[in-house]
Amino acid sequence: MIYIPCPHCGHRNADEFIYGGDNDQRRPENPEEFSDAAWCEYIYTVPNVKGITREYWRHKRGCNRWFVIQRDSRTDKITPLDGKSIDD
Amino acid sequence: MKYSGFNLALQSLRKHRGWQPAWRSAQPRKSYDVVIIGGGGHGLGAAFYLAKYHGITRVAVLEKSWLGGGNTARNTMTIRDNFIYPDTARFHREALKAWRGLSTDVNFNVMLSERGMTTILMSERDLSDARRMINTTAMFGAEHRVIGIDELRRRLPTMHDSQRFPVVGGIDHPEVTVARHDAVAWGYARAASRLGVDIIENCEVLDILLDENGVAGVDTSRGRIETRKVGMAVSGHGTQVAAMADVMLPVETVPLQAFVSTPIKPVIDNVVVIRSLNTYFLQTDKGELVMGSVANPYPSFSQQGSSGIPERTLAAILHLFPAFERLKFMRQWAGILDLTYDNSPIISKTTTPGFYVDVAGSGGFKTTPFAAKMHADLIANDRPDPLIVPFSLDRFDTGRLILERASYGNR
Repeated sequence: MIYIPCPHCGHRNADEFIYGGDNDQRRPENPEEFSDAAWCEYIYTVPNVKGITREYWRHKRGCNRWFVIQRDSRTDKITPLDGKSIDD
Repeated sequence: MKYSGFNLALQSLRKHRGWQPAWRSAQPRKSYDVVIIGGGGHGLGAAFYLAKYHGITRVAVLEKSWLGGGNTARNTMTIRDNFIYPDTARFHREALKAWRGLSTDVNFNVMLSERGMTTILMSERDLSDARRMINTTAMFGAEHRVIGIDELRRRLPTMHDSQRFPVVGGIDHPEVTVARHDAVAWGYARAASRLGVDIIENCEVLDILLDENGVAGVDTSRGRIETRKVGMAVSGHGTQVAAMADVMLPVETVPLQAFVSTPIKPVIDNVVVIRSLNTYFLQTDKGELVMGSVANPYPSFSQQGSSGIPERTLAAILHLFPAFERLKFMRQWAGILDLTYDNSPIISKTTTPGFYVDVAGSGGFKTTPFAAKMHADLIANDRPDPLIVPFSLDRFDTGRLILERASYGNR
């Protein structure tokens, strides 16, 4: 079982949260300049990192807040964010 | 040595001292015509069909640990074909048929048992969805049918009524089959080995060597192997292995769990699916109840599922089958799957010449023989069979996705 540190509600069971995808992917600034292949790669090819990833979660059955955590996808251990927040 | 009644009698007279290992433990050679990465059912099957149908016997299967220890060991045995999109319906129909005769083909009893599946429907919506599924799959030759509440009770005498979600009927899937997963891997390994394929365990692929013509070889933990063709049949680490060949796969690694109870006397004779509660279970030949549900709600390589899934799975089963209340859990395990965005497999050439993939089966045990045949055909002829053209990697560029609901991912 993993616990997720919600910035508002504290440590809660992961079941209360929704995984929201990788935080390091950014929507391209000028999608109209993208080729179809590059656009599809942005949409479908997730980084699928084996190791430490930063990702969005939402506390769906709680305060409903979106936030970013840093998790090791090999062990599900959550480590503190190094100064990065959702606004960066 | 052929496995037969005659040889069994002969060996028993000789006190069983004459049995040979089922497959040769091979040392890697310097070069091969084809290297298959992944010694599960799909990889070993592809090697067997390359040797059997395409006459390519200079083939190596490289396995990081032991044979059939990945998702071949994770699955819950069920072979079904209730897929509703034309591409997946045709594919899974062929996949179901490809299991028949497999034991004879590989001379190894894979314990195929056509025991059928029963889906429990708990709402009018379930019922209309079921009719749609039945009518659609009938066009491809599948034989599912709706059954009434009385017949459902006769088939599942242990089923209890639900006050919250009244049971309204069921679906009978007479052709759904179960098979023993280890036997599938071992049977293919033995049969492929007899045809000259080298099966190399404890051999991890560290890098795929490329030159201007595409694949040139693989670097492994047991040395360098030259080859012009690599077939990848990996689950869980598809992203990492394909990246070695400069191929970005649109897959995500997600754990899928299964649970097993202690063995009890025969009580359920087919696979039971509780549709609205996303749960299924069956009883093995040994008497254990095997239970499963949907994939983990977040990606992970940890091979540990989230705790919410066992909780919901058991709650669902006990809701309709309170008789199992005091059963004890014997094992729980999670294997990691590669899931595509559209939950359909990728059996395809890639942008790197000589690099072929058979990945993201979304619980691909049910397609093992057919996908392996198609993968072998693809490697041998360098062009896809019409049945697997829809499952090519470039569907993510063209947007021709196959958003199949009946898969485990179901996102």
